[in-house]
Amino acid sequence: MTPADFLYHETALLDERRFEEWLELFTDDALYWIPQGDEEDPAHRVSLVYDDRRRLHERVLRLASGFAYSQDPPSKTCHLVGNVQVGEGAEGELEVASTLLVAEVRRATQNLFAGRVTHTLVTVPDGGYRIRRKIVRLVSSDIPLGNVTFLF
Amino acid sequence: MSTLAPADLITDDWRLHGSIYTSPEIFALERERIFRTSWLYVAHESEVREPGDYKTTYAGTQPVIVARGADDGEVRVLLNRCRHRGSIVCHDDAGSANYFRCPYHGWTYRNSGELRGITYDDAYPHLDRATLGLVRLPRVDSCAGFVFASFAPDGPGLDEYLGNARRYLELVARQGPEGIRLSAGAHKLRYRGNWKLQIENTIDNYHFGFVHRSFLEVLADRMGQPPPIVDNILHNPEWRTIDLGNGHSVHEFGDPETGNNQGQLGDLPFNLILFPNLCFVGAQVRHILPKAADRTEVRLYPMLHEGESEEMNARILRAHEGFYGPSGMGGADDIEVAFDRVTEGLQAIEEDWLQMSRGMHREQPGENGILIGHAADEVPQRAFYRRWRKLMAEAA
Amino acid sequence: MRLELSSEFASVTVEVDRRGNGPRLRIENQQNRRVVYLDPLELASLTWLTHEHLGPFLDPSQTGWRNDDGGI
Repeated sequence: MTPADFLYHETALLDERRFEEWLELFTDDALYWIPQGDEEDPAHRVSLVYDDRRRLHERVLRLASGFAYSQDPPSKTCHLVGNVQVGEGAEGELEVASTLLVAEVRRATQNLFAGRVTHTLVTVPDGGYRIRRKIVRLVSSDIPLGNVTFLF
Repeated sequence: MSTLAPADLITDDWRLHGSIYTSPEIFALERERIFRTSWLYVAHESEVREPGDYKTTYAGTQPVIVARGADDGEVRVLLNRCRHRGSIVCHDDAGSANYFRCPYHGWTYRNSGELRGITYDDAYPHLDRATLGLVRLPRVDSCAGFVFASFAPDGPGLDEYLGNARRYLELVARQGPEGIRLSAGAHKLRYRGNWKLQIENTIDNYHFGFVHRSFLEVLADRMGQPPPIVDNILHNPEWRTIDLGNGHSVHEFGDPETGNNQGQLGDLPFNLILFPNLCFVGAQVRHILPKAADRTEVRLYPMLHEGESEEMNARILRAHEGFYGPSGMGGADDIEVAFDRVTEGLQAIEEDWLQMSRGMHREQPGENGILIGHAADEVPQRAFYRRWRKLMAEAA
Repeated sequence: MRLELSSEFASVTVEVDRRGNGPRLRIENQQNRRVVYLDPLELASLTWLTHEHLGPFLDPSQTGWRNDDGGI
């Protein structure tokens, strides 16, 4: 599987709402991060999302609870991944940059979100990958937003 | 359009008419009778620390610049509107500038408002520049580092306006070993719905077990046992809502000096609503910006603790992000239910009266004119609307 | 080393110029390419400034936006 194929697989899981399987793609020390604005300084600035593996687990748990009203009805999403560029990372890792476009339909409204994404992927023995870091830099991160509780 | 007089939109037995949320005429009247008469929050001093620092925000619906004077260090609140042809003069959220230059035709102002010069001014032989500075709000004052301004040149000072709420504001400012600061940015929300829906939802323990049930399940998973929040709401006598007078209200989670709401790291030991549009909840300052009868923006500013370790402050941010903001696991459920679904339901105007009477019979008077109620009673809402009804009934 | 200072109103670069017999501060306005060189005594004198003193320079009718050749 190429890194690009992995990204297509990852986002297909999200579009199909297979969140548990998506969660399994992340390492135990994973970070899922959606910064707000241009200053990427999580120690000092608030982010839209800054989830370690534990928080990500909670996010998926909430979506499966049946009581997550912000996702009731659930968002229908269509993720488009493009402009994939694979680079070297640390030992055993790949740094993958891509462009993400997500159409989200909910309550008779379609929203479009877009941004550059960086995945830090670790190779695993079965030939696939796990996600150590996923950073989604939305172009709309700093404007007033509504309910944005689907997964990118 | 409602044919009721503003004072009749809220009955003595606490029914509210839906038009208070939906009517453009009521919204226009609020701009006059609520936002031009009250003390309005505009900034925390940490947002304009140095001479020349400014931020842009809204006083009610009017765009303003909050600027610390270049030479005298005084904080002023100026209308963000060029006196020539009306453009905003500052467009950044914040910056440092001792003079402002309008982008349209270059008119230049001191950051204290005075008009310093006009480009190619040979075309204005008789202009009285002294009257053409950026308009200053006539009164600016601060309490515990929080800066307020008023369009009204006369009336009660800030101290008198805050009344019983002042004590809580001072406690907010003492959360960190050396105070608090707003330096972490802000979540920006928008929703289709009236601004007062966000106020009402800020202290509303009644909804927590319903709307935030999924978050309670997250907490149970995190803590290994059901969280005590709902039990506290229903049974803990130290959890009480208080009408502080003048439209302000508070929900105490025990002694406000030492109380712990068993909430998230950095959370205040009480939630506070300051009339008309400023709240303190969780670890944040919540500034509500009305845009139209059915359009609102909200800014959530996490408060960091001065004198605290960097690591602890980062943890405060992480805790805040988990619940609040557009992607928060709690706040977004409020957007869906308390704002979107209510705004939709309010279109059913055939029967347009709502109930705000929960716990009315058991409000207990306390000292200094306060009224004390149970945690899940609608005391804060009645506190707000008492003031709202009084102001809306008064001709300007 | 060139430093840049920008706001929504202006953008300048600042650097030490050593082409003369002594150091000077070179300030360049990125919006109109105007340049000024300030020697250490001039710079020291600026520490006496209030921002009000700069008023004539901030008045656009005294500098770059006037119809005659007068001004500062």
